[in-house]
Amino acid sequence: MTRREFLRACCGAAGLFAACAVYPKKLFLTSPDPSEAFALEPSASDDTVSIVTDDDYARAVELALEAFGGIGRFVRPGDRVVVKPNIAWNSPPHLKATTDPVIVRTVVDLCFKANAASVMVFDRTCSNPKLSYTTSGIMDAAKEAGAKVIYVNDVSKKLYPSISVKGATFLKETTVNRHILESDVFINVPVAKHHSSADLTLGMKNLMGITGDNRSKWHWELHEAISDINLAVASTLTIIDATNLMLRNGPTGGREDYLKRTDTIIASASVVSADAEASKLFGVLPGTVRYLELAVEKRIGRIDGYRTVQLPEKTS
Amino acid sequence: MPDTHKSPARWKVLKIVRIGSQAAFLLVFVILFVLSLDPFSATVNPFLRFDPLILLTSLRTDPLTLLPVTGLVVLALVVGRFFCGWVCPLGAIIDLFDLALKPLRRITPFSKKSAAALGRLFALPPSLFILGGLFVTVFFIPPVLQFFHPHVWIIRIFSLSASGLVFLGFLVVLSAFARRVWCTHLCPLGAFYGLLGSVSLFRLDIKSCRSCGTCDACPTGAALFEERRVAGFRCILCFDFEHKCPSNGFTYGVRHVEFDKSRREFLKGAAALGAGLAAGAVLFLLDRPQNSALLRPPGVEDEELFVTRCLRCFQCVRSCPNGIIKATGLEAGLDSLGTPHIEFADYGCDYYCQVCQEVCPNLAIPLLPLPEKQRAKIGLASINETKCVVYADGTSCLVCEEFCPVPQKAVKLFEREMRLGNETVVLQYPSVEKTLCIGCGICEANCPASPVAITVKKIREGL
Repeated sequence: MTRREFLRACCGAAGLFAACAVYPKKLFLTSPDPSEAFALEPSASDDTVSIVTDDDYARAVELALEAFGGIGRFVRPGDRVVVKPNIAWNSPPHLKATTDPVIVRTVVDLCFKANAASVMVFDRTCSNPKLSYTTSGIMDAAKEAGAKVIYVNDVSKKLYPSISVKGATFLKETTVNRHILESDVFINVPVAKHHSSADLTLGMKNLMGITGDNRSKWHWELHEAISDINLAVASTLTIIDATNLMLRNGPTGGREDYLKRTDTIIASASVVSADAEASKLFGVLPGTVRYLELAVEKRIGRIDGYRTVQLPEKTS
Repeated sequence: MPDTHKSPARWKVLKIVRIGSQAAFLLVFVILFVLSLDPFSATVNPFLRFDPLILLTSLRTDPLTLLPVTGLVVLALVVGRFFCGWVCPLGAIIDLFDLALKPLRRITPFSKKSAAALGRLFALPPSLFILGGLFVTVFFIPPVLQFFHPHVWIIRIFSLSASGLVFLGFLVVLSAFARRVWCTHLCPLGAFYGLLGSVSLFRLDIKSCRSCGTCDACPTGAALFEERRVAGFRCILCFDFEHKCPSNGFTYGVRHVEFDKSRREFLKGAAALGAGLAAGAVLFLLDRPQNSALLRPPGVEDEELFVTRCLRCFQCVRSCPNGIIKATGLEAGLDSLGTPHIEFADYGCDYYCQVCQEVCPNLAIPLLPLPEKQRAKIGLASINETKCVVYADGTSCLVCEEFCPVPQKAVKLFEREMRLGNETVVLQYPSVEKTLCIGCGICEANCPASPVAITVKKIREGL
């Protein structure tokens, strides 16, 4: 072995180790212990919920992530990121049935600032995908920020591989979008709304948009299904658009007087804790929402005892 | 004012400009058609909105829409039947076929002789007869205009509908025999512009002639060199042969009144038109009340008026982003053949979408302000309690309520106790609020029960 070959081999090995260190996070977990999802991010901030109130929603998102030391805490250089907003309905942004496009754009911008290799934005819509992506303003916002926006409504085995979910009570098997399974970072960006069947639609409910299953049938065991899909796929980060809460006739809404303006963004690495905090904005006790209760039973996350960071700080 | 006597080079320039105009209008037509498939373009097709015959269908509902088209009529009264040669996109397509099949027309049985025989076959121009017929039938149900209008056909062709492709094949066959057969023999719009052309202020004429027969190749058979005149009814101002005339004998200018030469032609035309009017009046006997169960596109309220006015152009079928508008076959009777109806499949009728209203050429599907469209009733949803999983099995399921796009929710929920085995549980039941339901079918499209437990049915008076 010449000196050059030796050096080359050393460099190769070092590179391999570095790669292992950078890409250890696997998003979907089939292990019986869901808490392993967070084991790879060992930090006190894992059950921290950051709550920011600011009428500039882009700044609110940035400030909410500051609590974790910025988005670089979750997105490493070279990461493939999937951002999953709520684009379920063909509804204009001011009616807030879909995630605010400003928030989606900010999240994509931040990912690229953290040197993400790619950012994809998509949702399996309920209304016509083209109409929903366009009317919601998310298509334009995400594209302007440089994200790749794709339609995912055509359910095929190739796009939606089947995975088994350990510890599931209803969805023992489900199909999940391939891009999410293959991503390094999965950012869940729901909008906070009243929901007739699920009580509230927040981060956990938003993951119904990642499956290729017949979701109408999930409604027969909706709370079990919502908790199981969160058992199947863990979000790296959840950023809830709670800026204008739809209080009635969700998830479609359709009138501005159903909305309550709160200008609040909630962010957490734990989707369950983020949802618990968001439900309080509706005046709902987290323990009374069945899927949050199930999330605790299935050890997906905590609905109490987590740390909160609030901006501006509460004056009591 | 154009000079009456042009040099061969200037005749040639006119021909080139004419071909350029034809190509440009065909291109515009294709671009507009493609744009109309984009639900956000709201593109209307001016070829069908700016048409004297199609606008006749609006005479009963919006007579004022006829006003702008008078400009086109006046222009034809001045310059002649220019529309067919310079504007009509179907004419351009026919010219392309004619060009492609030129070698075929040289061999028997496609030779010029057979073309002349075809000309003699019709003692009267059938297009005038058809025009007469549709002047009457445009006001009631048996569709005549719908099966003879060139621009309706061209949309059917671009929609790749079966009938459109058959028609395209028919045009190819016609091109094998003679040029512009559709335009001279069948097209009622051509006949309409021909009538204007035969009395137009300006016209093409033959001033000197050596009877060489060069202009005998006139695509519409309008150059009657033996009679030293050009038939204004048939001349589409194509300027294909004027520059080839060895004596440069053509002129284009203010017409010399020479009615007597064509009196026989005039009488024949009047007879054809009159016979058409009479035939249309006979067809009136076939008019009958409509009471179909078909769900119509949003905004259609009067079934009879809709069946009368619908052009069967399939533009709405092709443009609906959710693909729920289908062309009706024979299953609903002859009267509804080719009209659009709604079948909910993956989606219902989107609450914020009104593409079908925007593209409908003669507003047979009325273009409503969005809030009115959102209140327009396609039908009424009803729940079959023997199939609904909440009523039948005690399974909780609120998909219909969740998906209902009406802000006040037309699917209402009520709580009721239900015994499941030994347990008594409180379940939420869906029920349809008739005053709010718009029959958009989003509930039907998403109902997880099989067979579907909530379906939209047409609201029919007297039923």
